[in-house]
Amino acid sequence: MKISSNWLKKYIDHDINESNIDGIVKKLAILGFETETVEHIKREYDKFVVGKILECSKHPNADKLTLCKVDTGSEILPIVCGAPNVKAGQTVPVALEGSKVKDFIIKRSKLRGEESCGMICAEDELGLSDDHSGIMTLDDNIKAGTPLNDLFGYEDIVFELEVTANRADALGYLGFGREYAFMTGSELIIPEIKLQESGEHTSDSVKIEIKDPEACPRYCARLIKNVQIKESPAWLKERLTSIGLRPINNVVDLTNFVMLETGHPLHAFDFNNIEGKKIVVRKAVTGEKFITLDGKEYELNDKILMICDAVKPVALAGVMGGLHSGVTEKTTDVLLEVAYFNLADIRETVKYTNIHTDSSKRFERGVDPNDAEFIADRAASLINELAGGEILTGRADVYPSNIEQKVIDLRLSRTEKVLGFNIPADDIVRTFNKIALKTSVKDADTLSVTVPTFRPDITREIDLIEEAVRLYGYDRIPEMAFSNVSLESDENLEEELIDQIRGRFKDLGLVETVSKSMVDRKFCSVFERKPVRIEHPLNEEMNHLRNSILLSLLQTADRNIRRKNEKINIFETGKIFYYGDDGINEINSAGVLITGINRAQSWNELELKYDFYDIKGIAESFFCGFGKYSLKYDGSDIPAYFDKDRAVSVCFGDKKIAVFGKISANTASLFEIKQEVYCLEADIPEILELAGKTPSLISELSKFPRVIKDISVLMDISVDAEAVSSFIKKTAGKELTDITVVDIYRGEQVGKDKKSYTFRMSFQSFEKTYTDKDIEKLLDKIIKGLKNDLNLEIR
Amino acid sequence: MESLQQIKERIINDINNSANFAETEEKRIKYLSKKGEIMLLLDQIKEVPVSDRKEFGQVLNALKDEALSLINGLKEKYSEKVSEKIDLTLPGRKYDTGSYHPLNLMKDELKKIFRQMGFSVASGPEVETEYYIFDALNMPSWHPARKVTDSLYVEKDKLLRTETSSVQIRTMEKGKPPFRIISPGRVYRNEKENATHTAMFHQCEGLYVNKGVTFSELKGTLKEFFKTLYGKDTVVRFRPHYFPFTEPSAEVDVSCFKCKGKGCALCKKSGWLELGGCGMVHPKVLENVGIDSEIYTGFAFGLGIERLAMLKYSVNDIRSFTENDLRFLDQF
Ligand SMILES: [Zn+2]
Repeated sequence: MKISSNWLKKYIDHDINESNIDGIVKKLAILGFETETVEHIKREYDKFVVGKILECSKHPNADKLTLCKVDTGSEILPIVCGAPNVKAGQTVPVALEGSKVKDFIIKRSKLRGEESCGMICAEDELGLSDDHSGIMTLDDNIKAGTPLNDLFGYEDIVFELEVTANRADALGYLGFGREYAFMTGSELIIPEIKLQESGEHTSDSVKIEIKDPEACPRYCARLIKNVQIKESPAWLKERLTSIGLRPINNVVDLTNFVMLETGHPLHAFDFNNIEGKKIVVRKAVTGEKFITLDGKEYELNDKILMICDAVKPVALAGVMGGLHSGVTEKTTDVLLEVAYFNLADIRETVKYTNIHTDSSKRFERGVDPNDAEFIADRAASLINELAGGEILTGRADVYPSNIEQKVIDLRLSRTEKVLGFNIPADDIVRTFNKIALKTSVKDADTLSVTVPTFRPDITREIDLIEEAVRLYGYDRIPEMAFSNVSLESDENLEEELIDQIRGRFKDLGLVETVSKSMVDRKFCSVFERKPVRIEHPLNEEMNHLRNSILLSLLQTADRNIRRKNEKINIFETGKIFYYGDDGINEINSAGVLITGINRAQSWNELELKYDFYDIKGIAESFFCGFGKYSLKYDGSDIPAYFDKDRAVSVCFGDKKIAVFGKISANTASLFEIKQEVYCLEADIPEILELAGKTPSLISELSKFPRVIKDISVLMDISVDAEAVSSFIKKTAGKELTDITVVDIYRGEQVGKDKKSYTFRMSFQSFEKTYTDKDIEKLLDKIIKGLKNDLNLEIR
Repeated sequence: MESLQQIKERIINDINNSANFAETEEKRIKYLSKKGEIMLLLDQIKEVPVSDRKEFGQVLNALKDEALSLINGLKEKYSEKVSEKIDLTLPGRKYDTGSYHPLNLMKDELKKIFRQMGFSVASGPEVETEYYIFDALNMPSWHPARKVTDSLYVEKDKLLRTETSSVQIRTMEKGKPPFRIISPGRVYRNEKENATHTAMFHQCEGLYVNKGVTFSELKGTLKEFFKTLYGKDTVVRFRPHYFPFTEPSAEVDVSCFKCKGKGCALCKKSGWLELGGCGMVHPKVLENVGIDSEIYTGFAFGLGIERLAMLKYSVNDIRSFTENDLRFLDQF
């Protein structure tokens, strides 16, 4: 809420100026009112004076220009004026030579051959309004030569407060002023009301019927007859414009003024448009239509509270008036509404219509039901003052069951228990009374607090404890040493595993990414799990939740490729979401993506691109870190987003725990990626199972020397390395400690459909040092087996 | 016949006369290889009379050791001279070191500090029911976060969590006090994105429920945390605020770690950094999970991980975090 200090100063006896505003902002923050902006507003008129137009004549060379002689007090100046309304005898604002009008410096000049020594100004040129229809005319009683600054010069400090959602009372100058007065030790000044009533009683002129007293516990009205609707006086316009409201007419402006003053919104109806001289407060009928004053039509339902006359609805209660019921320049009789609505009903209307107004904002948070008399009288007296007319006697006020003030006990012992320090009872009593929480001592430990109805946020003891510490001063809260208790708690195994997985990937040289969970639906389609839709997404890029971690990694890869990043080696862990048999599932998933250049060309190295064996190496290193168990690689049952000839599943027992390999070209092209992309994907709960099972035994080391032998095998192209090496392992038994492929040859020498693999085998015995004969025997057995059982040729 | 002493002198002399690396190697082969002179002499030990064998062996072994160390010394000397000069300024071979994401680095740091302070790490679902996000947390029906357009709903009554406080409720539901946990994780808002707001971000919320937990202790706890994070002269300030799930509530300001409170661009000249919200767990929240609020009290706090990371690494646009440009990530 915007606070103009000029306005605020009407209710508190405290000066706010450029030198103390910083201190005030700091103190307000400690009291719970954060200041978002502070604006110093200064309207100064340097070299502007009031002038009298003595003579006017037509410009000889220009139809639309007028030559004027203007008395500016000290001299009579010739001024050429282009305004249509310029006339001799007018009192006008004049910008003299050297003054600045909208960034232009006024100079002595010739306009089409005629001399001009200044400028007669329109309102917009003085920054007073947007009006540029003609020059501004002033009261003829003002003397020529009067500095314009005396008339329109203006200075204010406007600060925008962040009022927390619980403090409806501070959305008015008086409510905020109460806090301000407390803060500065000054008194709150409540405006005096001078009310002159006449004629019949209001309740005889207008009948009020509340059909839903739960939604509208109180409806109070006043009638002012024979008013004159016109422009508001300068002081009122200044109040409204200072906080960014546009003045409309005296009556509408006053209802806004009183709303801002008291925090309680009120509404003015043109009484001649209230048919049957009757106000009915009821819920709308489903399907009923209503046009608000901004011309928008709404189809209502039976939860929307309406203000109606004898035949039709005239306002969305507490939110916005109707198109033809408001006060216009033709209005003569004004019906003033000061009502109290149930908070939930107003929220219902706001939620349904999505209309947010200064009024709804206050009613939604809760206004004071018991200040209707003051507000109705204050507004009526001000209307009477500015628009004339007669205020009818009394109020029409329907308030079937009085909303009482709550009385709440505050225990001093409890206060200390929550806060950890003692606030003396005297302090609490004194500060509470200062902000109208009537407090008395009930017994040694208990204070009795009567909570005024303008503080609906205070409903129980804890609310009072908060008030006590707020008024005591948050800057005075002592710091107590933290208790370094360590509590036994369930181990968060999955969380720990995720950190372990992240560490492992990072150690493999990969870069961690963090992506949004929200994605575009079009990317979900290639992944197998059924994606979860978001109901009201702000944009199409976030209409679903990711159903695979690879989706995020592929998006990141695409973004990096576009940005010409050549080496992409990334991993991510996080939740993925999908529909399972029992509704929405979310699980943690881990993924790796590599694409582009693995090693850039260097003086000692050729460029090396990522390929299948990089992702396989990453997978192997990754899984071997969890311990030595027999993981199997299986090329069957590969998800369609992988290239089925270039991807492998990792299985532990019968369970598939990960897939890695090349992403299919179709999938890559969905992400607009043209280069080869290799990925690894694993569900973390599966790895958790694996990690849980790990018997992390360290194998004993042999003391005897290791013997290394190579063997080259000629085989059909269709035979895999795995088939041969597993045969060798089986044949050699446990003395074979390692086997790997060190060379592959294809070419004319071996024939078109053949290839030659060289396997390097390490042998080591726990019992002896091998003799040449021992090794020969081992090799013999292997070679024979390969020849006889696998029909392979040894080179 | 040459005496052993003469043989020794001759061999040592000869080795000393090697002029370069290659000659030294020749001498090694000549004297110390399997068929070298010294080794052959050693093989003849069986032919030496038993009474002389011991001395013979000792002298020859000493000669072998001396010759070997002489040769090694010469080789070292000559290799220094002949080795090719390499260009030490050429770039070294590149090794990938890998890196963690800055948000996770920040999260890991918070986890580490809070674990040292006795908090354990709890986690929970990101898709939650309204009960765990709003109702159990005393969120009034009019609270803006409840508007279906302000949160990311996936089904009726199911939405992406707007706070990780839901984890606190789930933790308290499952056990009995005391509780001392943090729950770092992702949270979501249906918000237009700009340099300071994203629809998904990370929070680290903390909860401590026990007998005798107080507002002062909350301040002391947060001060301890920020001292560990930013240095021991760090000051913590509370300002009143409103959160439905805590009362009294506060916003937490921490003295700017860059200017030590004097005012700089980082803290917008104020000397303070606004770093989170906190308060005493609202008795209603405790009652909702069946804890007697007359016996137990608790505090809760929430910190924005993005905010802390942006300050720590001088990141100006929050969107950089999820853009994942490798040129950005490689710096961490
Ligand atoms: Zn600073």
